[in-house]
Amino acid sequence: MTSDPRDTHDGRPIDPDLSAVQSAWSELEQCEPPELLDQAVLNAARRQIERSRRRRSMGWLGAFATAAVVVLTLAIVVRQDLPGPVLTPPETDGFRLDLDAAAPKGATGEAKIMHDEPAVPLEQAKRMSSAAPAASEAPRLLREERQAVSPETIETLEADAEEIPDPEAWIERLLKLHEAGRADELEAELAAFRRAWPDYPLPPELFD
Amino acid sequence: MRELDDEVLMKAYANGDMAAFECLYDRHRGPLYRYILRQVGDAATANDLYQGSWEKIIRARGSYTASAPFKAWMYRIARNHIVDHFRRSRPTRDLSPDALPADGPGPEQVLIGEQAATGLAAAVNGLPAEQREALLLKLEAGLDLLTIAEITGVSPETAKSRLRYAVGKLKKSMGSMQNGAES
Repeated sequence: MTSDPRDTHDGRPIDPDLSAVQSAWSELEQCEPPELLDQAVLNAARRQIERSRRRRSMGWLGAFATAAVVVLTLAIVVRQDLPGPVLTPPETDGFRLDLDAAAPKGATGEAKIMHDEPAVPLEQAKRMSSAAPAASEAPRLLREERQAVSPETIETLEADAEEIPDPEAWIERLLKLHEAGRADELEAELAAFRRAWPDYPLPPELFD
Repeated sequence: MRELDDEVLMKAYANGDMAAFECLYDRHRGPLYRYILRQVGDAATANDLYQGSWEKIIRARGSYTASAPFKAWMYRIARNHIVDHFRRSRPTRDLSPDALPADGPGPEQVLIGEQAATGLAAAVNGLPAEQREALLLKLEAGLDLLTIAEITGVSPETAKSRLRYAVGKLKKSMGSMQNGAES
């Protein structure tokens, strides 16, 4: 009675009446999923494919960045281990420049005075020294500088430093809010999304 | 594309071929929807579960191996999703046999009660959950006995017995329906 040869167990049919029920069942009205549901499923499938493509295209960039970091780190380590260039005076091989002898007579005394005198006069040096902040004042100055920055700026900087969620995950969250009909939350989330990802395409069903 | 097997299409989709998914979806949308709808009874829940099932299928595309039959894999995912849903929402119609009423209205009573208006569908609705599930996997998904047993996590003997009970009850209902129409 059974039409399907797999409808047997241990060589016996499951039930001789199964095919009668099957044919009666096939005459029932065939319910189909609503068209909107079809669209939602197909859109989800498309989004996932696009996401994979983006991830794949970004994959080489990640590998490249990792390789670059490794190379740079190695270069720094190697450079630190190497001894620095040793600066040695040029070989004179016994040749000695006798400045005193080369200098014209009478100029020796003047040269000596120039050598002994500091490049900056003492008074000027003192003035410069008093104008520069003392090392002990540095923390105070830093504090003052920080106070000069407005709290809003600090908040913005801190917010920027926070990790921005993945856009696709975020969109899924938005879609869930949309489906749940939580309009206020959706609006706030959308605004936040737009701030973080201003040029990221949003799925049209979000605006249905 | 149309003549390709489900398994090939699913692998193609996993590799980024959207046309393959469209073909696969077109092939299974009706049966999967009806399987879910007949299981849960109301369209709103069925719509949610149907969409959720496909989303799970889409997300799991990377883990699908072409050696496993696609249909069995797909219905397993859908069934798990339905079971999870009922576990979460603690419904009146739990799929687990423990949650079923011991003596619910049989298919005949359902038919009489609904004046055979919805006929066979109502009779299927009146079956105990595990029998209904096995029968729907047979009638809607067209799965064989071993696959039904595997999906529902029972032995082939148990699956067979569920099917036989379901078919027997439906046969009776169909007989009552014919008698009712004649008298």
